[in-house]
Amino acid sequence: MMFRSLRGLRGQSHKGVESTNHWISQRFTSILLIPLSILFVVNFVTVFDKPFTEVLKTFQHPVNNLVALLFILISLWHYRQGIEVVIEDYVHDLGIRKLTLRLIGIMCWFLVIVVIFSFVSIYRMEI
Amino acid sequence: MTKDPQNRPLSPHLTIYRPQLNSVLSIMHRIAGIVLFFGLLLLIFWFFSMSVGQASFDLFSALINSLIGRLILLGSLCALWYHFFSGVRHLFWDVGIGFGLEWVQRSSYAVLIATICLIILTLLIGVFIG
Repeated sequence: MMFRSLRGLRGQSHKGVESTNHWISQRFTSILLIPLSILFVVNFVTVFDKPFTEVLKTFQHPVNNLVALLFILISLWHYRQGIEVVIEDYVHDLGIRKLTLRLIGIMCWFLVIVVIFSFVSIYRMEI
Repeated sequence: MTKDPQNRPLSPHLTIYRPQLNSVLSIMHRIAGIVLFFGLLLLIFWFFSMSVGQASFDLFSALINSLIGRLILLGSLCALWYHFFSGVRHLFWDVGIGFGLEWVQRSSYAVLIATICLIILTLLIGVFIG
């Protein structure tokens, strides 16, 4: 019953149990991002100013490709989780809150499609 | 006091508090997270330009390697390591480690020092290995 009373706090789209799951999955993406961000940042700072063919070759390597892809997708997921909490804290009008959350959701899925398209193209590109 | 559930008074009234190291670092975690989204967008555009072909990549590469581009990258790097260590501290708090004023104070300094060290280390890696 306590959970049920929390219904509506998250733009009337989440119940209390879902808030708990949201909290747990935010910790899940945080932990995943610890190794991924170290690996990706080290990789990125060594190639970001290099010419096209060299950068392409780096990210065509399956390990680099996978690390970069996972880093970006999980970062996006983590961003969405984080910005949802921020919006719930600062946007008090439930209608505007719900709309903002939905728009952010749409934007994130759009970016996911762009990222997957880009990485598949990069992986299959011939030099 | 109003009975309207949508219009209750909010607590705590953050604006009447004197800023403290902890409160400043706490809001910085959120700000860094929001800044990092723009860094992530830049990164997504970088990979997208790469997938389109050499011409678009070269254009985008010139952009991020300009002075302003590099300053934006440096800003993202600072935000990343700050959010990283501040986030790790949050994970420790989540499992109940590091509470108590003395430890919070110590870990605040640890987060700042670790952030500065990792920014310098990353720049060194970029300069000497890249």
